[in-house]
Amino acid sequence: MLLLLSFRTEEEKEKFEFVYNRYKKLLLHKAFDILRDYSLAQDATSEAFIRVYKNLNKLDDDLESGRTAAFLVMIVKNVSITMLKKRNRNESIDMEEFERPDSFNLEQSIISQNDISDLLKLVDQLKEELKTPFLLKYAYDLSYKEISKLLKISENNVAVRINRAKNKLPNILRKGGISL
Amino acid sequence: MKYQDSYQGDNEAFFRSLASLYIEDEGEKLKHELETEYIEIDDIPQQTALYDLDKNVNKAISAVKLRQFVYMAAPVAACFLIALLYISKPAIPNNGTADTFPPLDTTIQSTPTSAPAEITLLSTKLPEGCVVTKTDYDYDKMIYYIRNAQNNNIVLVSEPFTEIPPEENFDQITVNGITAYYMSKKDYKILFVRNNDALYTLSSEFNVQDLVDIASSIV
Repeated sequence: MLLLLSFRTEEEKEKFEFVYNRYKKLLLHKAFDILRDYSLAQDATSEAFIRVYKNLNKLDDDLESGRTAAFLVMIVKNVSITMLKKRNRNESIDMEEFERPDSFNLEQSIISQNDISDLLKLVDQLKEELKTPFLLKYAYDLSYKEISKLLKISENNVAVRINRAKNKLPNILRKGGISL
Repeated sequence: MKYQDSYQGDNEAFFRSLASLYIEDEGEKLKHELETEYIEIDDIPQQTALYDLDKNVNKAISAVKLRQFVYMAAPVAACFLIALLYISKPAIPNNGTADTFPPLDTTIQSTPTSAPAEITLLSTKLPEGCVVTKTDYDYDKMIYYIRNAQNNNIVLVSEPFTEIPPEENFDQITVNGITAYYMSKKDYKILFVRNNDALYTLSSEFNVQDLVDIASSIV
């Protein structure tokens, strides 16, 4: 009984093997884009897959969907950037992220702006360390605790980063020409 | 209405829509990238990295599984041991074989008299300072609980040899000319060594050298 509890079911094992075989090259490629070193990229990808293994239930049922691909890429990018920071010892914090935007209603502003793809490009201006927890919460509906476990940061840190993203987005959108 | 209230209340739905749209768009781009030849380029460093990735992910998954099993089994094992403390008799040497089983406190000695006859007994003198605090058996396995000179606890299991765990998941070390396989993690260390028809498994929380020292006295 204990053995059954401690090991994955056959279905979960097959799920992981499918995800691993389908996405390993893509994730390695994305990690290499950031780290520019195959050995480090391999380490980052390995770590990313271990985190996926421990959080298999967070994956969509459709393992070939774009959502699944985007989820996995977010994890490997997060791991890669952490490794890059440790390597470069560059952990400065952008104080602009603490700025509070003026009070305005985003949704009403966007209705007046038709070009969705331009809007999405503006989202890319968010730093990965803010964008990833923001997307995991709002697109994948993960809790702070789940995000904390996935990204290996404290729950407090998750809350701070999501808040920073929410504060920064209106500024980015305004600068990108969203009318207020 | 205060700024914070209106900000939090009105825009949560917007953030949800924005994030979902972003992921949908990003996902489609990644699906396209996955299906193009760019990922399939036959590049030697990439192929080497992929090979290493396969090996390392396998190794890491095995370690995660073992750790999960130990965490699951530990409370049950603890309850079992506590129960044994109250109901089992202390281990005594078999009659007429005192010369085969040296004194209790520094050596491995025989099973409790109620153990099945087919259990492989182990008779060896342990490294200096080591004490066998308890012995037990489980089907065809003999279990020895050892405390070494540094007061570190080590568990030794002796059983008939069937198979060694997959070699690629472990590092190797030579003990008295015999290849042993070990894994060293932050909170546990484990070592396997085969001698003739027996497999010895040593585990400890502390360091691999403790396990090697005891293995050296066995093989």
